[in-house]
Amino acid sequence: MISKIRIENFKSIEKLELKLAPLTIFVGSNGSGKSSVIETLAFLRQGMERKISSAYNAELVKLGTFKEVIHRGDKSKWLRIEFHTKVNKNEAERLEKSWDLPDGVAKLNKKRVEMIGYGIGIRENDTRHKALINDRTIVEVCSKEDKIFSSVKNYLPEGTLSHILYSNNFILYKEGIGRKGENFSKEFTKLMRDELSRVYYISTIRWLLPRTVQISGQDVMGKDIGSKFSELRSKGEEWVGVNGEYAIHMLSMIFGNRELRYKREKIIKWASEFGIKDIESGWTGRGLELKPSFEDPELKVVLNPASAGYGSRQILPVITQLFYSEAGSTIMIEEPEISMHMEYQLKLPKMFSEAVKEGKQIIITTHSEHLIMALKPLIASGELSHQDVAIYHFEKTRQGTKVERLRISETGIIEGWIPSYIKVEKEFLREWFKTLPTA
Amino acid sequence: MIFDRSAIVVFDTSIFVGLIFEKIEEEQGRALEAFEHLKRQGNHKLGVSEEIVEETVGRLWGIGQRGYDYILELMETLRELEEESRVVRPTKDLNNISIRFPIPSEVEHDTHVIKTAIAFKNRNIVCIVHKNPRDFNLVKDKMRRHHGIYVLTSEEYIDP
Repeated sequence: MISKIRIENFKSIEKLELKLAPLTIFVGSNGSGKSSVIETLAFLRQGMERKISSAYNAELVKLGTFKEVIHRGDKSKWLRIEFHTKVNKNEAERLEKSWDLPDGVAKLNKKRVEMIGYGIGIRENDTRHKALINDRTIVEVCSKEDKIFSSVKNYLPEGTLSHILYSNNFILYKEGIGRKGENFSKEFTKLMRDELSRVYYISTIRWLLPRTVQISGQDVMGKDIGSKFSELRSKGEEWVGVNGEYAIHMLSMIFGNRELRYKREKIIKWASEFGIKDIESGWTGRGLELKPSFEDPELKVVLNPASAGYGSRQILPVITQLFYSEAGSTIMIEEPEISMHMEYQLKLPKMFSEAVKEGKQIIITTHSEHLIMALKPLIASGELSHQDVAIYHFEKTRQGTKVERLRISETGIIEGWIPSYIKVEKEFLREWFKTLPTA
Repeated sequence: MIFDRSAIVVFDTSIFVGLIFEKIEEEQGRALEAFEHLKRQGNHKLGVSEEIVEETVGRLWGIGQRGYDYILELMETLRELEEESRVVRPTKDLNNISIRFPIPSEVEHDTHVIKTAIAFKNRNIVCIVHKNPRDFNLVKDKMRRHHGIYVLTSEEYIDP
């Protein structure tokens, strides 16, 4: 679970540090920078297997170029992204056992390992990576020069630990170097890679569910999803896709596997809550073709989910990802309420709460007042702890994105309500007031 | 009877907030009774100012309630009166209203309610209806003497 992110000079964000909760919600006006935070994690995720120059535009997000993402287009600035994750007792012990670091670093980190972090700094033609333990930098390296920077200079002889982070990848253990720190480096890198590989991103457009899927065919988005999905599965990265384009594959796989019965039941339950009753998916019997179906809850006829209402179609990939993903996954969803009537919007927090209880981390952007409102009864009843929810309010100012964490009481009250909502509601009141006759 | 003639009734924010809660909770409380009483008096109009409406919704925001539900509830509640043109706003800007006596510190937070009532005074009979006798009793006599405005609890308004 990602516990903290720091961002510098990314799009409208000049400097930002956010502590993430099991359920983190970003609210604020359009263009205030909510999605930018999600994009930074997606950028790191898609940079895991690529050179940085190729990481700007890949399967999760398409960001353009360095010049397009650097704050105010100032290429002299460093774009920095850092994320931290808490480690459990076993992971901490494994990491400490692998402690073959020079004495200086061991001294630096006398405390028990609780949190590890990774950061990247990018400037035109220059990249630096750093590894952190308990929010302290233990090593910072330049990818080009294999040079160690900053405070670690006092602890490490130059060149010692640069293989923690390999030049062309964000985080990668370089096999076979066999220098001091290798075991630690291997453990550290594995933990960070595991964390990032469980980050999933689902965008606002996800209603293009195919009626059937030819395993070797093309989907409506024009991608060869059959081979793409096989490729993803072979890597153990099972994801519905940024537009839900692999949702039918995943559903077919889940429905065809008895061991996944628990996940299937959850998906059926929540799909039903959102108007897709008794969903099924699997082989059509005509070869390499997958086809889903469900029962219309009112008309009692069997239909293809591609014929369901837009709201139901939009949420099906989200349900699939939420209840298929393993504990420890981070699922980022842009505007889960898209196309939904308020009746459905009110159900979203309960579904998220259930996924949170299964150990998943959810980060959403939203404009839905109903979604926020529906958190209160869950928190008040104790179904969701107020500490498990973080609501951040985003505002774009002349200085860039400004973010404020809203306080949530133990009874689920958001103290002071949501600033940008109040602004609009006040305006609405003023307009109404002007319509009254005078006396 | 004080209000046999037409009158403008200014509800204190506590009455508005109580009214919305009682409507939502479907409880017949004092605020709702005062409102129903006003509706029955065909010659009474409800006087509101932007400041009172904003404070009403602001109090709900302050305790973490979402705004639109309450704004819509407020508008729904007032709709019948509105259709009869019995919800009115003052022509004067409250910033230009002077109070002819010093306001005790306990009542400072209700200055906008007092100013709203004064803004309506002109040729009208005006009363403030409230649920907070501890504070409003401090200005009751002065309001009557200096501005000719009645200050009544919801009970006094319903049964003068």
